[in-house]
Amino acid sequence: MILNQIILGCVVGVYYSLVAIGLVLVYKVSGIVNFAYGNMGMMGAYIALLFLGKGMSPLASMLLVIPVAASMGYVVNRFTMRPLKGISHSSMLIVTLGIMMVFEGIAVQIFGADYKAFPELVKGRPFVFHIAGGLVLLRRQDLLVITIFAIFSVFMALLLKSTKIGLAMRAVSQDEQTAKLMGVNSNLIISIAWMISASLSAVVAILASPKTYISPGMMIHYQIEGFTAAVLGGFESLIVAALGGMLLGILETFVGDQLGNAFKPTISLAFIVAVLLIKPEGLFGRRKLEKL
Amino acid sequence: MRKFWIFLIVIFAMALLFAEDGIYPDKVVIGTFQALSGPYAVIGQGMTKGMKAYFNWVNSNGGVHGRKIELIVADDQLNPSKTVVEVKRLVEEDKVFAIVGGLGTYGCLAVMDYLNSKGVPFVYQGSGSSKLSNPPKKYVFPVQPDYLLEGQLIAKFLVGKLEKKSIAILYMNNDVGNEGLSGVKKRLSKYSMSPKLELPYNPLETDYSSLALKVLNANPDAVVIYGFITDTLRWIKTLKDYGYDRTIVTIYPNADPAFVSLGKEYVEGVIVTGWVPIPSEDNPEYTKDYQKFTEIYQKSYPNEIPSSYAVAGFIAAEVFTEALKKAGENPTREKLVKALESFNHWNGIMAKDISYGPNKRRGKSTMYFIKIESGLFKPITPLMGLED
Amino acid sequence: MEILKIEDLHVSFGGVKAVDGLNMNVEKGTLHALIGPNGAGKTTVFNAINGIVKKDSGRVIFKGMDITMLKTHRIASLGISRVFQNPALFKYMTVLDNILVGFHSKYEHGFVDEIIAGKKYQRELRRALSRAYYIADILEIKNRMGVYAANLPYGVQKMVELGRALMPEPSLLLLDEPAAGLSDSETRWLLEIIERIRNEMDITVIMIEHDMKLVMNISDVITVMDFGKKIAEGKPNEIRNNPEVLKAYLGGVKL
Ligand SMILES: Nc1ncnc2c1ncn2[C@@H]1O[C@H](COP(=O)(O)OP(=O)(O)OP(=O)(O)O)[C@@H](O)[C@H]1O
Ligand SMILES: [Mg+2]
Repeated sequence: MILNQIILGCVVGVYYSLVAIGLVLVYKVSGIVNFAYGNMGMMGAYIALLFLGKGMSPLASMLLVIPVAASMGYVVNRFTMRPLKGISHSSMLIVTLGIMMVFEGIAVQIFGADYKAFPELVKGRPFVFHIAGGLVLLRRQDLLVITIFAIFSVFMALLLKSTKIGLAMRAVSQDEQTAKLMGVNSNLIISIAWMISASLSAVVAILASPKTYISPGMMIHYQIEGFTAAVLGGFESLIVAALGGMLLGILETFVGDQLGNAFKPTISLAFIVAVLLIKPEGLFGRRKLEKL
Repeated sequence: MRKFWIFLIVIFAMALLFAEDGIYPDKVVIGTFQALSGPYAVIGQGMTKGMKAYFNWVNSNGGVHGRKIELIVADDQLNPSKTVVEVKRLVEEDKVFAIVGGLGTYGCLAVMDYLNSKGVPFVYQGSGSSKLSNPPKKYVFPVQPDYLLEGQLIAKFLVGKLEKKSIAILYMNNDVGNEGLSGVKKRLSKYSMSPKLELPYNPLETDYSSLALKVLNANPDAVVIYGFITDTLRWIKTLKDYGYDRTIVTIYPNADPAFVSLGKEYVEGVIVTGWVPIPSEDNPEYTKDYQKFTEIYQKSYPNEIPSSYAVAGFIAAEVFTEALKKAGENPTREKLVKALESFNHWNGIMAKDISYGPNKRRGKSTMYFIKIESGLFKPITPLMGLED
Repeated sequence: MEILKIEDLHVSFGGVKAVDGLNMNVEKGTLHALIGPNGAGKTTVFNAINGIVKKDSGRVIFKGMDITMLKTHRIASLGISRVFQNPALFKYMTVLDNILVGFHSKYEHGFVDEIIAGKKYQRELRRALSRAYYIADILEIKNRMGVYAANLPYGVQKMVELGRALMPEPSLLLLDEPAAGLSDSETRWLLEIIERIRNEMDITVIMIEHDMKLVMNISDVITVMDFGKKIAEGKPNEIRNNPEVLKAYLGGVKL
């Protein structure tokens, strides 16, 4: 039964991981905790719905949204974050919260507030496995998300490890001023991080929508959990953020199963507070390691 | 000539002194609070449209006793602390005559005592909390059935009608879920039964796969889900994916076209409760009512299919308008209360079987059960009460 | 021919006039020292060249091109490298990655090449790596390439920074107190390297330095600053006996 819970926990956690990665990527490169992150994805999901309405396949709709979402990330960074560079953390927080609400307002105005359905990219009955004397249900879409997570992780790892852009991203994330002196156009790098992040959020929103349904508030839960996962990892590195998401998923599943579901939010929160008290740098924080 | 002016001023002063808030020679100003933005905007927008559609129609037919009804909508985003601020403003600055059709359990509970102490009638709450009607409050008139009543009726239906032996209850861990749970348990205890499984859950969570295992282990004859559209659908999908194929009952907020259009084949055979008449072949008179409702609605919102939230708003407007008519040529808040207390199984277009009394505030005490078949809502019982 | 011309440069911070009307010409192929007491405004001159402080007025001309208003990263890409007074390495990167960042502006491949790992990308990566190892060889930091920068001793950090600055084959190198904090033997070693940089790599060097022995030994020209102003300029032996300079140093250091 423990194995079952771990598997189901990972299925839940993989969404948190993807959200956390997007949050940490932007945070590391530009120092901004983007509370509008989830809602950027929500906008992306609505746009995917428009493509779908034009008769495109769900997959094509999702792929077409990626450049749109990237542009949205670019615009948000270029016209709100960059001009405000250097204001205090708390002011920045208020700004991203404001953008979050603006996106929600726009969504309500343009698309209305009612729930909309976006089909699964992979259809078909979920797989039901009998493992360790219990059942485990794996949805095809969730397996797809896990695959995407794996591919995206490898992509990001390669990008950061050995490419000019990746190296520049890491440089900007550690010391923007010095990176500029090395000829790195830090504004461009920050824009790229926002574009990747926004695209990722849109993909998550679209893939999650068979569960959440598309509505202006669809990403609230993921935004909170992804943020929590990132905090668990100390907002430190992408790998650690991903681990944080998985861990949070497994933790919630266990608490829900063993202690009762009513405890879930309390226990998770208590766990995070405990982590922050004991290891303020996050659960896996090893300051000496690569940061991004 | 001077005498005339003094006379006029005295009349004017007296009129100011005795005039009821919100009542003007040519209009009655009332207020409502709705979530027009935020995550629950879908409900608030629908309900507001329903109210506006009905009032527009009344106004275009000359209003009530020559007065047009003017509705001020305050957006509280379903945030109770905002509700308090907005409602105070409606009462103290906008000087509304009554609050009609406020949305949201917590918001309604947060302002109900304030409105009651100020003597401002509060007609129809978009909430199923039993605290609104029990204990009765002079100025608070709930219309929707409460979840306590509904829970009892569900248990009565499952055990009394369908002869189910073991029942699992999945409920949102909030006031709605808790009240529903206690309703079901209250009635089950009459049959010397208790739920096989009581499972609270967080409606915002997006995956119930792990919790569903508990339901499978309990293996109940029937599952009752106290949730709203999206989380209820997540539950139904998960349970059915795991192969659970027995009776699933859920609550009246889900008797909404969106529930079927989003749930598709998954909601086939699911039973929901209802309190608003649904048009069907068996109830031709309801079909006519529904057509009339749609016609009125589409006068304001052409070509739009009204949601069930619009129906709720429409009913709120109907009940208030009827009471205002009964309150006579020169309505006051006291007269409005008296008028409402005289409702005895009153039927409007969509509002059906509504009664109040001097010390009775639960407006609606009957519901019926609906099964989803081929994507349509099909009533399977008549209106049922707690008696018998 | 001068590679860099500074014309009537003014930089101030609040009330402090850090650079106050500086004119300075740097000849191509020379080692030009910039000296002066603490707070004279030397580092600020570098920052102004790099475009990281706001200039009140004046112009900076590099290879005949006005770079006064250019952005920092553009100026760097034109071939001006910088080594800081306090090492500013990317702490959470290895020595190799730090050095590679220095090559950023020299890569010739585009973003798409990178994503598909095309031929051009692989060629460029090889080019970068071979230059990195060539420089690491000169600076004798080859055996440290895999170490995280934060874990390096101070002297080595300075070498890595120098290596990073040399990566893009700059035509002008700005060294801010390269010898500060180094031991005597390290300083001698550095001296050798700086001479190789000027002579073999054909890089013009502007060096801020407090170590007067070093300055007098290797500089071709020396500019002396005090309170943001140039007070003297000339060959080392001209500066050595300049009364203005002696006054500025107020007997602190024997030149
Ligand atoms: N960013 C800044 N903000 C405010 N004041 C500054 C800044 N940078 C330099 N200053 C001031 O400008 C003046 C010149 O400083 P600068 O660092 O250029 O001197 P320096 O000649 O490099 O001195 P040192 O030999 O100590 O490095 C000093 O008074 C310093 O306090
Ligand atoms: Mg200095």
